[in-house]
Amino acid sequence: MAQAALATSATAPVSARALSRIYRSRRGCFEVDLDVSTGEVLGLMGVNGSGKTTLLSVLATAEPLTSGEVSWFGERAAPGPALRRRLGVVGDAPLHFDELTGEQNAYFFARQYGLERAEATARLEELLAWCGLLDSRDLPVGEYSLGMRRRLSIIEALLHRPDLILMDEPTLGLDHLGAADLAARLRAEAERGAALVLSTNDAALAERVCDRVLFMHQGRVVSEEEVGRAPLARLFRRATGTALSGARA
Amino acid sequence: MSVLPASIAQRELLEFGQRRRALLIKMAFPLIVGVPLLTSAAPPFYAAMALTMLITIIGALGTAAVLSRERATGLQLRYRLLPRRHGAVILERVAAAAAIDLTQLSLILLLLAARHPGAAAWWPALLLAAVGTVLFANVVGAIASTFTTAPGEVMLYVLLPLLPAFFLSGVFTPLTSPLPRALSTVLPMTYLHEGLLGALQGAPHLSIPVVAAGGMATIAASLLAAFLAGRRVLTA
Repeated sequence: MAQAALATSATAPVSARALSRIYRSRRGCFEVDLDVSTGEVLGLMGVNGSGKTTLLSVLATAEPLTSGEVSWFGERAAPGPALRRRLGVVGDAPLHFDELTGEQNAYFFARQYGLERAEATARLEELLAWCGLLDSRDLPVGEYSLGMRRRLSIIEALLHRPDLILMDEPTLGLDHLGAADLAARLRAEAERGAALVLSTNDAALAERVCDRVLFMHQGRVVSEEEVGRAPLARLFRRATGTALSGARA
Repeated sequence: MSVLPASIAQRELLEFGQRRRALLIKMAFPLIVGVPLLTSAAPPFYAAMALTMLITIIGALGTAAVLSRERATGLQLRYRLLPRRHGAVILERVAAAAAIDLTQLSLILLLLAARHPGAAAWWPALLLAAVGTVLFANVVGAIASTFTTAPGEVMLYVLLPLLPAFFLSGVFTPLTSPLPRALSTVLPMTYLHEGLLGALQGAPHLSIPVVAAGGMATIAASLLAAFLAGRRVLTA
């Protein structure tokens, strides 16, 4: 059954059937099914500890499966360099080499993801300008604020024009303008043909960017909704039994 | 316009160069141990023992501490997600760290050469043995980091395998029993200690070609071990 279902989504950037990742504490995510198509933006919403980050970690190849199946771009082989080159990942914490400058950090990742020098430089210039980090490009990242670090992480994930973008709480630490810019950028990435999976509890971002949302609770997907049919905050409360922090119901 | 790193090795070297205070301490540290040994009348066996331990522990502790800190902060995840084989990532990191360690040790090796110019025939073999041992020590440090949950634990996990290895390399006392002597042939510190003994104009048991061959074999084996350990180091 699971194999047949996977076969129907053979070219999807990412598909999962009965995906479980269970930690020793017995927490994690359980029996998750999902398909994300090219150009689609899928949101993951749920309270803290609902399994969103764990699910994203597995999809990002950062964590192994405990059971179930995942395929990326129709391949079920163990994730390797060729697959990782097609991924753009923003983790829940913006981690960098603090002694190096923002530009040095981003350039390093651009080159590691296969961009040639001229392309890396041009792309970096464009994204630093978009993110408002041009003036602070020569500062050590250790002197960056949380929002600046977050923006740098987003730049690093987008530099190589990935086919599958996975972001964990991308607006955390961003101001309203930064969040609005990010929403527009992510829609542009989807229109370019990238598939996106965003873990977020920012209902405004999800409503602007996502096509569908999976609501997670205690490690399981409890509901799946098309965006635009009803306010996400209300759907969130119905699905999880919890109010979305700071949201209008 | 800052220097932009394209590779892991360039990034490591750039970071090393930019941390001026750490760089100064790192360069001075071996001199504190080495200068008194090399400028006094310390017996060659004991001077070689101290220098072998210094060179090995510098290599192992540095890498173990860095990798352990990266595991603790989550930075290691960035390396794990790079579109490269995990073995290649760790191989490059170990090679870069070893290059930095050898830079750190270069003043001591130069001082040794200056104090004992009559033992110049030993220098190439000693250099090969030092490179091999530093690489080996970095691999030990990388693997040791996977057992730690905090950088403070690296001393224990690094010294646990290294102290018996020093003994079995004949570093503390010459080996006479057949089994320890057989084991000593596969331990890099044997060749470094013998190379140092030669360069200090002591009484080595091994010849220059044997020490050179041991050094080269250690370099090859350590690079292979770094590649093979990559997955464990990045995913443990």
